Amino acid sequence: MLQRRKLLLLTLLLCLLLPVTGCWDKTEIEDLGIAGVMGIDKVNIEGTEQYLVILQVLKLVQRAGSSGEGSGVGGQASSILYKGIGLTLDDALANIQATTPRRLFLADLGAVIVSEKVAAENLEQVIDFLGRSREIRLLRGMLVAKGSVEKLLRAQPQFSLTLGREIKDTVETNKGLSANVYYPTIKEFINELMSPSASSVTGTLRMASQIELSPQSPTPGGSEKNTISLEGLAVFAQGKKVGELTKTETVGYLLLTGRGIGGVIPVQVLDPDQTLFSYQIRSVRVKKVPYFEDRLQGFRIELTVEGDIAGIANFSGKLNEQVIADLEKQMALTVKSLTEETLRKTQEQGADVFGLANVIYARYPQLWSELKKDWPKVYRELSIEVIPEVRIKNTGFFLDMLRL
Amino acid sequence: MRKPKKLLPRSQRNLQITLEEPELEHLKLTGNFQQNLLLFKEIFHNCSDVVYRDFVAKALLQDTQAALIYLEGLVDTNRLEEEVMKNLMIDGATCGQKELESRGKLERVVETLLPVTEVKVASDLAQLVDAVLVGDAVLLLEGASEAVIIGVRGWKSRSVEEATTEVSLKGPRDGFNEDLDVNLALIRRRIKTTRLKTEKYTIGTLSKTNVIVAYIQGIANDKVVEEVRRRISRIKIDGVLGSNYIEELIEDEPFTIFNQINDTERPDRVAGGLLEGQVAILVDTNPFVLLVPFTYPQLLQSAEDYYQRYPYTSFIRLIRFLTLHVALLFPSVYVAIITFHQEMLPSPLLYTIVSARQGVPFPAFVEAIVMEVVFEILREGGIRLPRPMGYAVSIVGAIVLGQASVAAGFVSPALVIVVSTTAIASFAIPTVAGSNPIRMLRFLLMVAAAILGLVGVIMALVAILIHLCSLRSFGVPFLSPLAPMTVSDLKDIFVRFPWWALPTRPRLTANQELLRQDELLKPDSNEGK
Repeated sequence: MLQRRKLLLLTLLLCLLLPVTGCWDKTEIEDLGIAGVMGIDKVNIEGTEQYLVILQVLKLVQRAGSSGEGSGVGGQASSILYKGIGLTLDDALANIQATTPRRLFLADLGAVIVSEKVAAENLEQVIDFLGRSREIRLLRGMLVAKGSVEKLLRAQPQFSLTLGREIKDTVETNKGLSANVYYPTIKEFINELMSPSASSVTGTLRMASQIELSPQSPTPGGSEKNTISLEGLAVFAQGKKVGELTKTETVGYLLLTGRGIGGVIPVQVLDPDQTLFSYQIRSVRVKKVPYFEDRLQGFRIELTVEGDIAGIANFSGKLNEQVIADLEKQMALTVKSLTEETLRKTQEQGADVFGLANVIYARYPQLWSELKKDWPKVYRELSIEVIPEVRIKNTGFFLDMLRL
Repeated sequence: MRKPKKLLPRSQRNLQITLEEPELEHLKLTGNFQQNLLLFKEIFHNCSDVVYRDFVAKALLQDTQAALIYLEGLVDTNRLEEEVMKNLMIDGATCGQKELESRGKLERVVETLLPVTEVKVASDLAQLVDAVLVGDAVLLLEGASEAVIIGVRGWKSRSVEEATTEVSLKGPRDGFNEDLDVNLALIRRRIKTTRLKTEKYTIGTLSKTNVIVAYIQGIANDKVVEEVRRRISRIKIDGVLGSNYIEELIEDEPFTIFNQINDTERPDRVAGGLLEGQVAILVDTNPFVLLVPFTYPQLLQSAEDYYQRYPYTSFIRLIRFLTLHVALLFPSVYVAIITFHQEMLPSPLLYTIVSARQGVPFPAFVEAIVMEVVFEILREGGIRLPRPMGYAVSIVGAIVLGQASVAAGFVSPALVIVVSTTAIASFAIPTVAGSNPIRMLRFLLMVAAAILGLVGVIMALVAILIHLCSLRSFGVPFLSPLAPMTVSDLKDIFVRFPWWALPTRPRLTANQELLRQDELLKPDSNEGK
């Protein structure tokens, strides 16, 4: 009796599992329309603003006689730009789905690119769409396009199959190699926008062109190819885009958030030789300390940077302890001006992208409840000082400059 | 239309007939030679392979009629001629008339004229007929109411060859053959103790197959030995042609696809099992010896594990463990991911598989099932064919079928990789008893994967695991020492500890005399420095 009841229970449980998924949910992999990158823009149609979603869908074909010698798959891939218009993003996406025989597959999106207009006006909807989607990965990035999204999406990826992947790979490869290419993942972006500071940044994309050299090239000097380049950052606060950071300001931003590892900073030494050093960052530590004079006055940001000397130009002396100490001082000045410049800019924009509000929120909750309301205004008026400490850990093989 | 004949209920059907031999129980030899001979001729009526050799035994002073009855092909005729007939026919007797009369002809023959080791005197007809059937010769003498059974058995048998189903690189090469005595000798050569007991049973009313239960007294669990005895003596069947007959009749759980009894062709493996407290069941005319109790981890062990040094053995065992999972899960996980969880694939792999599957006419599941079935057909075909042709079939299967079906676009290249990896993995499982269930379960898992994706695979795996936990082999839990866990026995499961670290026998098989070696056997690395 007990056994039968157990069996019944087990069968029931098994039946309950069926609605979870099932063969009616199956999708053959070849029926997928794999989207590589998604562009979001707005268009005005008969007086109403509507969303324009552009999907780059991969068209993967099997190479003829694929069993033959050395058949690669990637080379044959081409892609199609699908465009859909709708009142909401899901509507636009559904309209795209209606025009293709493949099931749109968004899990492989490399990046989502939004136009400046959308970034400035409809960020909330976009973020909601991205965060709610069951397929789009939160580990991908959302970037802002300079100029037309559609034009940007027409750029050919040079090394990857899709543009989205190329953007993602560009940033991932540059981690630890360069200090001015950056965008956060959608998850980080949402988290920062939802934190007390309510500000964040993301990468901006613009068109670029490269010369491709190939034996079959019609023109002898190579042919020009449209590519994309990641440059600078778009700054968001209170749910919309409020401004931008230039390439140099990006370095400042990355230093102040403890991220710019591997970046190279040129340092001009004010000596008669006009010596130029390049300094490569190895590690960054940041400490944000608020200070008060009966009310919140400002922040001291203690920045400890460690790195190596990557190159020297116009240097006549020898690298001894004194020189290195001088250099560290010079370097500290450069870092200070670099970061403070970025800080000023964000203060002007009212975007607390460094999360100073989070420090107040965490340590002085009482104070935060007072400041919460008009934090952007408070942030604008804070006096923020960067106290840098720069250390040179390694000078490379040579103690002086190579003279030939 | 005729109505089909209704079968009687089972209890009313007469099931006794085929099981029993004609009644010979009460028949005995008489003193009349001719009558005795006629009796034999009547019993062996229409048995063309029975030989009756009449001759005159001159060796008994007065000429005596004698006859040898034996089965052709089962006796060593050379020995019969040299050791029996020659002595009896040639007049070289030395004893006197008086002696002969006082002690009887038969005794005289047995004591002085038969230089044969196995000799027995009997008058029971049933016993004599059985003797003829197993390959002994029966000697009838004029005027004697008893006959002599002479053990001159000798038939053609395969020599001791390498075990083909369990090949090993290192270690002994000999394998069992079809001769029970030879097989027993191969074990006895490895274990020279009086504690190695070999109990003989005759099973099969018609086949009269000898079955030997071997164990080491004091090491094997008495209860297991008793249980083996009980289950074997329960068997009533007309014939036993292979060890599997016994296996299916004595196993614990008949409704399972897992083997609960191990069979092996290697004497060293049997000896190893006996030393660990297992009980061996040898069946005549069969080179496979059964070993009980048997636990699942042993499926992944090969005799060679003990002939290679322990680091390598441990590495190989881990590889085998991985292999087991590949053989079991690869196709089903492939089907599940391809049809349900595409987002789990890294992008380049996704693109590659998508483009490889373009234009393939079947869904991934159908494709996988068909390819797996084709592989099983190829395998079966390859086994049945003679060796040289077997290779040809493998080439046709591997190159022609695989290549052509991909080129023609029937299957995707990715699936060919999956199927062939799985196939090779299933061959890497060292025992047939281990790989057979895996090969079958693969299909179940594929179906589960096609219905419910990875959820289905996990559900099926859990079901299999529950089933495995419920199995027992002669009272020993099938998954022991993993479940229930015996930590000390884990030393010889996924990895093999060096011999000096394996002082005990498996706790559940051998629950007496656990210690098998001195505990201080670890070599001293400072010695000789």
